[in-house]
Amino acid sequence: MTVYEISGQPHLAKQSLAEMDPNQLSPLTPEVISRQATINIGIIGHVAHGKSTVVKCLSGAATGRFKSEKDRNMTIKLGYANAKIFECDNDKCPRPRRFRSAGPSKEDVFPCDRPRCGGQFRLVRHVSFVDCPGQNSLMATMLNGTAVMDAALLLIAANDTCPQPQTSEHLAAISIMNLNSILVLQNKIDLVKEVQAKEQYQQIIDFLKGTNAEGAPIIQISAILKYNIEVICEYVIRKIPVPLRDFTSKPRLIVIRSFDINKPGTKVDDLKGGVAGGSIVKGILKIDQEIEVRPGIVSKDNEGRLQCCPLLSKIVSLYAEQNDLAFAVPGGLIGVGTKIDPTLCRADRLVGQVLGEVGALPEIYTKIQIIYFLLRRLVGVRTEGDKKGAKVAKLTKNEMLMVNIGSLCTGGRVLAIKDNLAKIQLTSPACVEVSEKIALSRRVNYDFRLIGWGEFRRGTVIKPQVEIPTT
Amino acid sequence: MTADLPRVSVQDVLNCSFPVWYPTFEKHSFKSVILKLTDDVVQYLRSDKFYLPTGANEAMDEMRRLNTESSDDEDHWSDEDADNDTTNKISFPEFEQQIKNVLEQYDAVFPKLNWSSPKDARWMISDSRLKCMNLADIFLLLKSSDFITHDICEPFKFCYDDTDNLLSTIQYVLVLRKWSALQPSKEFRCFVKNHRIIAISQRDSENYYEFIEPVADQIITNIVEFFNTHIQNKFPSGDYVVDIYRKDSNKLYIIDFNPWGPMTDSLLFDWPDILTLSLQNNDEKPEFRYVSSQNGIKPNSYTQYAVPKDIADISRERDFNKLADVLSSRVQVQNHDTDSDNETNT
Repeated sequence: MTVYEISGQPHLAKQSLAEMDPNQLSPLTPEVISRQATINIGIIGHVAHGKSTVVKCLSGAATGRFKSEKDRNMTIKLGYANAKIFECDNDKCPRPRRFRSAGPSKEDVFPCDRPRCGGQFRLVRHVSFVDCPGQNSLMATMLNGTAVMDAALLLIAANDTCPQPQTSEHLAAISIMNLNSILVLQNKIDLVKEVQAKEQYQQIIDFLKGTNAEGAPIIQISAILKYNIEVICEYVIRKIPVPLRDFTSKPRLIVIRSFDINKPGTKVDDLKGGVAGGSIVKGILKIDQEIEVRPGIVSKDNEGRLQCCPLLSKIVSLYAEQNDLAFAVPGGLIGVGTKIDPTLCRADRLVGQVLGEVGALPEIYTKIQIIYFLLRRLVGVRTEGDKKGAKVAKLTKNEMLMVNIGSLCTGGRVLAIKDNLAKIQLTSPACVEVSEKIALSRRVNYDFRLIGWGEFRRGTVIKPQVEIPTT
Repeated sequence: MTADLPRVSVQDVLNCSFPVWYPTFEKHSFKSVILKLTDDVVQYLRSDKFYLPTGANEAMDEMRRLNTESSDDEDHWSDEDADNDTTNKISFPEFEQQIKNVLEQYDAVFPKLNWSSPKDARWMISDSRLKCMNLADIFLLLKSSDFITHDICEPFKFCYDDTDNLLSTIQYVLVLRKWSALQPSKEFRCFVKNHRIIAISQRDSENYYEFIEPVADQIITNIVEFFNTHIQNKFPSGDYVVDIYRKDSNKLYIIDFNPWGPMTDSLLFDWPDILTLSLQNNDEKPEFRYVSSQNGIKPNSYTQYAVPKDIADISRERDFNKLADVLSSRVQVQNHDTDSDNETNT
């Protein structure tokens, strides 16, 4: 194994592959959190309640635009940012101002700004805020229970109504998220009178009662005034448990972006390989590592038979935000520079594929057999009048559905149904493990609506081809 | 001083309809075939029921047969082959044949309707892009896309002069553009006010392309020259947005036109920025915005379409009812492994 050391961003901790020992790594390892996020925090809440402003505050993000969301029919600008969280090393420095946050490029140690403190802010956490409607994190968390999201911030605007107290049926619900920590942020506290704030505060407590988020801290903040932002930092450190990570398994990354970075007119010999970006589910990716991307390129031969050619390549670079990495662990979104033919990566072509160690990825399936369970009615329906209309009808043969399997999404055609089993032909091959959880959705009123859950039992495997086609 | 956000008229939207602009600009755009949609096809697209036309299903069946090893399906279910479902036989013989002819001619196509392409439904077919090589690909995309729904149901949603009976007057078309793997780094969105480009934005606004900065001036020059020669004063509206593909310094193409207004994504600009620019009545070259430094990997805005709307709603809105429902349904699944909850829902 070549010794590889990172030379970019000299103000950050060095990373050396030779010295990296997966058994010694944790989401708190200094040379890791110096350069990348290791804890994913999802934000649930209405954009009008100030999600973007909160994230901006915490990450000090000047880059990255946070536009207001528009109608779902249009491209929605996303809030995504990483933040480093610091604590002053002077014990006498009072809370909450002994905590601070900054962006991912900030140096790991810098002087405390409290007059005459003499202490230094030291890097304690590096978190990634995932504020993306429908970003697979929420779906994947529900399906896999795996820590794509380690914690959640529930954002409620003080000048809006609180969610109603839950029925007993809902009480057990939040526990399924496997989220050990939820922080509630009561934002826009500057816009309401104290009485109103207190009332809503109590309502929030009632809402969480009986769930494992009971007793979750409720922090009153004003993102726009940067009020109490340090308290969020404090709670991130004190209340969010360090997630258990699997660093020793063979690595796996779910691709959410891919591109060709070459300048037009570049000679063939000078072409840089394609880049894939996504989130690492488990394990560690390293520079120089041999990797495979599945299903790879899907094509049909002359007789119409489906073929998959997984892409075999090597990692030439790794990065998170603006920081170079020698190795990458789960957390945030990681960019992987490869030697893959860049035209195969152009325009997000690899989205939904899986990247990992050669020979260590699951099989590729074109048809699946699942066990499934339909909801009685569509979710979110509350009024009596709507209830009947929202009944979920049985699956019918040849019906087309949206199928979410683990972190992937594809279409599925219902081939046959028997009791609570179904055979589904996928519209594009999927690289998934047996017993992965599944979500089924049907087009209702022009939207795909959740109609059921399932589990992948077995299916028709497509054996990969070795040669890679030229287009 | 900032101007009010522009109002878009029905005529503006109609001017951007593909069959309206393409004949004028055909020589400077990509090879495309325009197929008229008959009423039955439009009805089919407007219907919630999602079944593929029989022809497309047959192609999928054939694929399945070719790819199944005989040892595969030990448990063959009794109703699996029997096609006793007669209620959902869908067929558009002429239309399907027209599509097949184009596929024969072009090998692969990029589909769109009058205004939108089904980019949000890219998760439906292989390779996560809109390269269609058969009937199934095309119909799957059209039936799964919110953007297509917008075209088919409410194209004038943002127009101030929309009226109830307009929808029935639209001649819907399916545009099949000869497939070509375009590079997102070469697409530019140009904002035109009073027949003049005042702003240009990198179209793939979430990614950093190192090569753009050194040739920024050349990009502007090429685009403005192309526009002045081939587009200026030839498009019926005075204010509009045009997407241009710059394959090379002397090879540019028109991708599409969009109305001048907030329903058109302003990408690296804000609409107020654009309006301010448009008020500066000078002859300076347009302002060009592009991503100028590495930002790291950003989430893909299209992944929000690859989950059921309920999940998107939960994380985006304060819809705790949905959250509670979804989560409690997961509890039910865990509690009832083989369950009787699959009783008939009639």
